[in-house]
Amino acid sequence: MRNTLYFALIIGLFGLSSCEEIVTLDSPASNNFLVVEASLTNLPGPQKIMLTRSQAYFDNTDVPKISDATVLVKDNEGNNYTFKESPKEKGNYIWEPVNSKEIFGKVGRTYQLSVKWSNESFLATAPMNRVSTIDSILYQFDEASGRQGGDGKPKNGYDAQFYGRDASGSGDCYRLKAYKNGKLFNDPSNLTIIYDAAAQKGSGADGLMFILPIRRAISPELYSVGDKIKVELYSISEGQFNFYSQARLELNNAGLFSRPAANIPSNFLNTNTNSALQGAGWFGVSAVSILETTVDAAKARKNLK
Amino acid sequence: MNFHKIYLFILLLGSFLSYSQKSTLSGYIKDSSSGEGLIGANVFVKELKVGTASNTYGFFSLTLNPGEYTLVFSSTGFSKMERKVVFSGVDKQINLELSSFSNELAEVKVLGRAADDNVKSIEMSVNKIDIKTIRKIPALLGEVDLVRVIQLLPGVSTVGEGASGFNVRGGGVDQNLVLLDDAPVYNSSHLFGFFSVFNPDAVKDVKLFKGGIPAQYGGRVSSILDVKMKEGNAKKLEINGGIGVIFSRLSIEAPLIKDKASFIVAARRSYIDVLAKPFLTGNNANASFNFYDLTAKVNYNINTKNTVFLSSYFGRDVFGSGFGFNWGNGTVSARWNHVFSNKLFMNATAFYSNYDYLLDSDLENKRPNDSFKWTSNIENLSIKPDFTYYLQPENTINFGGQILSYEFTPGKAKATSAGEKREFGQANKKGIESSLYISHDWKISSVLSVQYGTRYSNYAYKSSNGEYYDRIKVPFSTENASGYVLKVNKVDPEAIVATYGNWEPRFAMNLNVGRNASFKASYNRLAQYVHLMSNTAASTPLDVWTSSTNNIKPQIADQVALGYFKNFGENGNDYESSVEVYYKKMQNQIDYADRASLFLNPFFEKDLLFGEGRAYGIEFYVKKNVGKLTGWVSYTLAKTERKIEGLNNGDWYANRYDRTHTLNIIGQYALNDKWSMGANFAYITGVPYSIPSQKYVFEGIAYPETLPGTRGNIRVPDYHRLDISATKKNKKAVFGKGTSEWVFSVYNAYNRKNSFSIYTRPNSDNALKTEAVQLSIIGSFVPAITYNFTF
Repeated sequence: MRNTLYFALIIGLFGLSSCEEIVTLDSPASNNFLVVEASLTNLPGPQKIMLTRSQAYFDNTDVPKISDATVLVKDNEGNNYTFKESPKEKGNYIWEPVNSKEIFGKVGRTYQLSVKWSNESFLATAPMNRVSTIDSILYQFDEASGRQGGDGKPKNGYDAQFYGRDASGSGDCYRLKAYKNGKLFNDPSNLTIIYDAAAQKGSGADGLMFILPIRRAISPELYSVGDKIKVELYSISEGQFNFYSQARLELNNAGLFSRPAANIPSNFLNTNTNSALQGAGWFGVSAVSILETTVDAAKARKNLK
Repeated sequence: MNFHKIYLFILLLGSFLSYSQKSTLSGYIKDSSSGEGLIGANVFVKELKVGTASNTYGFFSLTLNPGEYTLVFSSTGFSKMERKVVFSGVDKQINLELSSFSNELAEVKVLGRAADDNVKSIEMSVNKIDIKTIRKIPALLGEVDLVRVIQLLPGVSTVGEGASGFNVRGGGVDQNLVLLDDAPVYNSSHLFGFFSVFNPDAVKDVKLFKGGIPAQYGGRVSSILDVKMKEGNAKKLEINGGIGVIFSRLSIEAPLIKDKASFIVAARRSYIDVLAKPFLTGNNANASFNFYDLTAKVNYNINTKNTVFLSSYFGRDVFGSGFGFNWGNGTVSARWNHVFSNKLFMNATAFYSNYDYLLDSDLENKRPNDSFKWTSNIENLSIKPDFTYYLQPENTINFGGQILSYEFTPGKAKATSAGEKREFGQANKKGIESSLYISHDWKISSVLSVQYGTRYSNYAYKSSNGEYYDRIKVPFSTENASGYVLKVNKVDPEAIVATYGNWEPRFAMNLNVGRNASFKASYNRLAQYVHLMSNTAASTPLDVWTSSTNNIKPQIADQVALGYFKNFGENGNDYESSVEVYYKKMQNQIDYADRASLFLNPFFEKDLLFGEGRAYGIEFYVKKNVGKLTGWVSYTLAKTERKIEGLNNGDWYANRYDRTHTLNIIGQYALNDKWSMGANFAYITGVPYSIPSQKYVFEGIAYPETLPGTRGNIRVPDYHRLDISATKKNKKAVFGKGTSEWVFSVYNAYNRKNSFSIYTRPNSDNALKTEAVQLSIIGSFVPAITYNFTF
């Protein structure tokens, strides 16, 4: 919606010239927080939790890592998973499966993270919800739209969509990730989250095929013949949907129709609410669907959009 | 019942009036060149040194003891007229035409008021701008624009360049009642906020009430912008037009029956799309973006007692390229002026007003299986009789009422994915706003006059879908950022869910002190029953007007204002000046919880937060009316804040349109018969903005962390801008007839990059790094040429 408005504004201002300039400002004074980044999954292999510290807003030095924390995850069926700090990468805490068959997560369970560091104790809770399957990835040859164009991006190529259906029953939330030749599209504008089959709660989209703008979100730029397209669909909780939703608003909050800045919520909470060291970030547990394809001119479709 | 008291009062008043033996002279004062009624023309009785002024329709009434009197009829820009009239105990009627002594272009028919009107009248906190002045002010892209000129007045501001609407004395954009021939206009902007919907060729008179608002007005808490359309030339055919960078304009006015009936039709259309067409290729080749409006009015002067008017406005902004996005207002108002007796004048208005928009992802119906269509509108129907009783020159009573029905269709969406259809959105709502008012203008002595009265307004809300909601307090969470959930209650769809009633007392006084000077004071309370749901810096065309409900209480504002007014100069009124202070307290102000979802969300009431507001300031104004150099200087020192439960730790914070200092200098200089120049300069404190308290890295992107209590922790740099224009008058227009002019203008002449906002973002090459960006909506100077003609 906001994109539509901007598009309209941009054309409307043909002749008028809006402009942006980078300015230098002082960072406001603030306490630094303990930040968790965890996206645990039901995929085979090790699982990783990262702990860092927040910085002054305009501090562009390296992110401080948090070492020597005690990191433990429990599920509601009494299983414990110990995360040990990687000797190679400070601040990364790893759980290793005992054998190649051991899978970390299971749909329907609830997980609790506890972190102890420097006499402070943090807790976070997350469910692993069901995820829908990705049925197919289809593409058609086209020229780049305004959204897909830009420096160094293909002007012509394959515009891809993924097909899948939201499971019936309201409240399923997803995070969508798309990779071109193994590289994640990770610009702030690529952050795609889904509520049922649409972009927002209350869109009446329960049980539908993911709507067209969501299906096309895997093509922030066009693909070429031979490119590998990988699509991952992560189930997330409604809380995490709100986390990403607010993050996306704050990361793209500019211009005539910007909203007042607001805090991005967190489920990583200090058990002592009066402490100066509070938590930020999100502890999430997801079931994941993955589908991969290689662009082949012979398999291109027509009239997909 | 409260209404009964008012009726009783009116009845008593009637019997008290009937004993007198005096006689009454009444009639209309008109412009001799066009037959348009003259607003606020003065009628002065030389012998008694008393007088009255004509109303919005040019009607006046004067009741005097028997005798012979010399009456002087006058209006700024028109020749005075003296008449000896014998008041013999028998009522008389007189219709007069004053002739304009300006030999300028026909388009500058000023509807002047008395020269000392600003000092002598009871009104304060009111700005009247005639269209002639508006035309002389340098304009963005040369387009004469009413709302942009209003933003140059003391006490009026905007959240920034390109933002729609305007803010009056610390009030929100939805707190202004914008009336076009008595019908409300819900979105006064074209192209977001760059141009207003009023076609200058069709506007007769503009009046902005910022305070001391008379009892006849109500419905919004901050201001009333009363725009009256021209009636159309009743003497001869007149064609006005212009060709500019953005719009082309054409208006035609002519008598239907000479001096009895006339009409005006005025149209404008933008043509950026036409100019841009050759540059559009591929997917954008069919892009359309234009805006247009059509204004039309007819009037028929049936006899001396009856005149009827029918006016209509229709305007639309259209954008699209495969998808469609368009919005616009439409109004129709019918008015009947009836003179019951020489003393009792009635204007009865019936109007219809609509604002609607449409978003359609599949305008050309190319992929019906994957489409999205969204419509929304607000509709009004109203009847509004207004009466004026001219008891004596010293006493005038205004009374009347209004019934105003609202139909809200806040948002209906039809979504189709892979051929499966879903419909969702907000339920329709209905409301009825009824009001009655009475006020008394009383010239107590030659130095003291007062106006006092009250309005009683009542609002009844119907949910229409058989549901209403209670807000239940719950702990804050990411799912309930407002701290509330809704409990759904069932109710008969036609039942009234909530009613509100408000007494709105109004008071104004004027104490003349010395020659051409006065002290004025006023108080008003206003209630507002409809609210614009908007959480963005500038309101968008998609923002939805919503009804007061059991949860959303009517907004109420109390304002007191004090002022000193003085005219000075060689002829007494060459310069006007004033100083006003005001304090405004606002209740039931609406704000929004984090992630508030206001569009298509049936449960949006969950996401609202409520609190109070306050605004205060001092306004200085000096205006030079005569000579080669005319113009004004205004300076405002002001503050506007709000305190909302659940935001900013519950502390006061500055509104986004809070501007500490506002300085405006507007000047016009008539070089010679051919050339005139105009300039205006504005200096305004930057608006408050927030920058994040800290950052952290999440999934390779620097996320901002904004802590509570940091709203408005910075201000964007101060805004200043100079615009200049030069107008060359030609003796002849294109076809050798009429007159014409060229207007050359430069907006933002010294090319300043004024910032609309400062925002922060991750760097586009390295999302771990952060930067602050200053955004200028108009980042360079904007030259323009316009050609205007009239014949």
